[in-house]
Amino acid sequence: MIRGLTLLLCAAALSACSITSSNAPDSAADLGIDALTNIILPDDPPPDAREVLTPEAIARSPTSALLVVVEQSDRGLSVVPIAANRGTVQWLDGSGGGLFTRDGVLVGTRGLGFDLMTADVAALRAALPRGGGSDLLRVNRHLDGTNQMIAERYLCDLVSEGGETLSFYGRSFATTRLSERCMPVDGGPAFTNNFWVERDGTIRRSRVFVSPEIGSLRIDLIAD
Amino acid sequence: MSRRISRIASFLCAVGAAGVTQAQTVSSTGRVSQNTYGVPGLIDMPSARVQPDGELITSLLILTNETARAQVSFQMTPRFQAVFRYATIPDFLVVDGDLERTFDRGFDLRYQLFREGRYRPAVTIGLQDFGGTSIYSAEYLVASKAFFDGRLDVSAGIGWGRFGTEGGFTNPLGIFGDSLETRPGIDLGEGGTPEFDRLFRGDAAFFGGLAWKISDRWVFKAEYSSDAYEREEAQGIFDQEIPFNFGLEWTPREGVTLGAYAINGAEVGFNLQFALNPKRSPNGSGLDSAPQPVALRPPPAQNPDFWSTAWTQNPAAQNAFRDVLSANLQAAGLELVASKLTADSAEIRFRNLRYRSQAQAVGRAARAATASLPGTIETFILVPLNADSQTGTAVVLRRSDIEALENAPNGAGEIEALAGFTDAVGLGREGLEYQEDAFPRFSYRLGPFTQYGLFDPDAPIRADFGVELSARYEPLPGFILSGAVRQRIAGNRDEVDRENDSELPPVRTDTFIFAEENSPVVERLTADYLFRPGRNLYARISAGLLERQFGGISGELLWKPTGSRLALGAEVNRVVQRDFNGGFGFQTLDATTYFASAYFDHRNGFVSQLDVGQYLAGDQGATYTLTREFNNGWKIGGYVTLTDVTDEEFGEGSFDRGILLTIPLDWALGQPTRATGSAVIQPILRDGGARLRLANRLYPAVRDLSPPDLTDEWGRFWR
Repeated sequence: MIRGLTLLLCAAALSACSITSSNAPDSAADLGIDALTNIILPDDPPPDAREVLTPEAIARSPTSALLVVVEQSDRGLSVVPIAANRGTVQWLDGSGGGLFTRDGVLVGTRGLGFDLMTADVAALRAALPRGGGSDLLRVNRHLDGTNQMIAERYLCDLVSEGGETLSFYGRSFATTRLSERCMPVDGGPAFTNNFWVERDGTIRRSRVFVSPEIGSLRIDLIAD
Repeated sequence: MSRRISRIASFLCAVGAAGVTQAQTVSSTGRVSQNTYGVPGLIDMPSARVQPDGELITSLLILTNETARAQVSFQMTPRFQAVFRYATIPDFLVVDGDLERTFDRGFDLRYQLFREGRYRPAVTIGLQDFGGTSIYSAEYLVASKAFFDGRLDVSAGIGWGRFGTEGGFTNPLGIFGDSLETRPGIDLGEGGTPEFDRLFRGDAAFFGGLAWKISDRWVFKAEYSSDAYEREEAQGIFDQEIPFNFGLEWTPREGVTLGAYAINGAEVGFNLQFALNPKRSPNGSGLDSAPQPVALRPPPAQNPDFWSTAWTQNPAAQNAFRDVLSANLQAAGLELVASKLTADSAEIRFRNLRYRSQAQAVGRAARAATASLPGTIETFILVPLNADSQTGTAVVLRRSDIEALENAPNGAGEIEALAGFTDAVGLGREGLEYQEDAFPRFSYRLGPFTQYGLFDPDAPIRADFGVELSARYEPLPGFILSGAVRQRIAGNRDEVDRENDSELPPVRTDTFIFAEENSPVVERLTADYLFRPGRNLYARISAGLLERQFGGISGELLWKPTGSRLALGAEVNRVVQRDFNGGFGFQTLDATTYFASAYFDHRNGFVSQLDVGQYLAGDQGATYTLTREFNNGWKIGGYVTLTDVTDEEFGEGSFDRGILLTIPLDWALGQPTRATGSAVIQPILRDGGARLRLANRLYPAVRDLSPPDLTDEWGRFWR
């Protein structure tokens, strides 16, 4: 036992002084020891965006911003737009994760692990201004455990659930709440998404399913 | 618990750690309950169930009489399962009149003949421990049927061999010949030769039992066992009271199961299982950050300068574009090595040291190119290079397609359909500008190393730890000088206390003498030249201290066309055994080895490799390797080598075979890296069928540079 501990300490001591040129390939031994060290002595997690954001800071924001809450892990992060291509906006957070939206509807995530690679929500986007619709085709794509792209088709009903006033960071928004109830056509879980839409069509808040492992994201448009 | 068992336990805990981390994210996996032999079943008896495809389960059984079994089972296909077992039984082996602890390796194979139907039970046939010294050898045919929504699972079967010892009756298969009624005695011999003449012979017996799922976490099991533990009884280490076993299993978290059993009223057994599956990544598609977005070109009217081709006449402007491209590739984790820019096309050769998936590297390179190059460049010719600057296939993409498909719902599929794939050799080198800092290229690492040895009866796991300094210098593309020096700090690989009784030239059985050196040793020091002699061809010439035990020269040629499932190779080596002290000296033992190799990707997850030729000890024969490869980089395979040495000349084990395992670290860590953890589990290291351990054989090094491997994970293009 003592010998085993000595060996472990040796390995830890060695890793601390592992010196590598920046252009060398990754070493499995170094990565393994780093990972073990990180389990024993984890880095401090980045601060939750909800703790950092203030109405003043939001008012000063030069760009649009979203507050994203990963509901399952109760993690909050803020993202800002970095690019737009043919109607799809790419949003990035400080740690490199990101989102994609189209007309305010979430169509992709990155950096969460069990990401939504793309979502085809053309029927939903057409139905949102009408305030409802049925049998709307939605196709969610994700990479499975062996990196194969899996396309899951859903038929969704969009239903208005009445008016609701949202208040966050010192501002209030009059919205109509709609729910998108999706049933799988060929496998995948059933889920319900919610959208809080203002009179001008702006999606002020949404709650959208990403994957069984990540759960849903709650996305607030905190700066226009 | 003996020290040996605790060593096995610590090994299993390490192996199982990955399973534990994974367990947090996986809910319903379809995994079924296992028995104490590491296969689906009750307690000692098997069931007809199968694990989910790809399931890899490590288990450890400990009995109160200090018997222990460590097992790894792998569901190779949805119906076919293979198991490797390492067992130890106390006071079992008679040596010079004394009873000694025995260690035993064994393999099981199981095949599910019928899946469960509405009325029909599932039926499985199994061969247990058919390759070892047969302490646990048994064969069985078993049926299982589930009731009450799967909460009750009932199994019944017929067993032979060990499973035909309690309540045995004359073999019903005797109708096919009297010889089937007697099971030949165990020929311990050198072990290792599958004893086909014993299968399904001798007395048979019925067995059966049930597993009752009390809750999601608890399972109760009861069985009538047809194993009388005859040999253990004879050695006085088991005292059977009743032919019934009872047990309780607890699953504290997904992927981990603990079991406790009363075995034959004689002993208590404890079982610990860790499960993981290469198909269930703990981090999904990875935690890597979002890519830089595609940069869109402004319309010519808005920014005419961006669309001007005046730069083609201005070398300084060209270099400025190259510098921007290099910086953008660097930001994406890629290194620009060379490029050729014309008014309408850009050939970009880049080294990928970050992404295991070349498709992802190509996707990131494509985006970097959009952010770097003038508007008129419409064609991107992207050439990923491996760590040795080798080219494979060039991926040809239209910039307009990249712009249009970045966020398309089926963008990955559509861009693959529009991409062109061509051998990079056909592009020629004319006009290709190497980056100034690309060559010479120097890299180094000073860090820890570990080296292990398995299955020595005196210590099942031996390992050395120490420090390694490695360096690599590449003055010209493909011409590489590299080496490594190691200093052992601690370990016990040298403590092997066995006579070398090999009847062959000691090309591998001196391994423990090599391990004795306590001064710094030159692990490897070689000059290599890797090049492409022509279309579809790859070549390598190496000279120097090729590995720890041999030095000399080595040459290899590989034919691997773009998109082909078949590759063919030839390899010739002329080597001399190095001095034990790891210096630059040589001993007198020399060898010439040569091989012709065929590699075939079956495209159903399996890859075959056949090597035919002459091995280090001068023996001639062939090695067949079959590997289950998952697209995420996991590889689990087995190989067997048969050469013209006799069983006696070969010694213990009779012939060389082993298990190969490669775990991609990006799968485990969630961060992009090309590093992998690999292990070769060789039951016994002998001199027959031995090959050189070359660091850079061509096929594994160039495979992912061309389709089909290049496109296997194309879904990561936009990742």
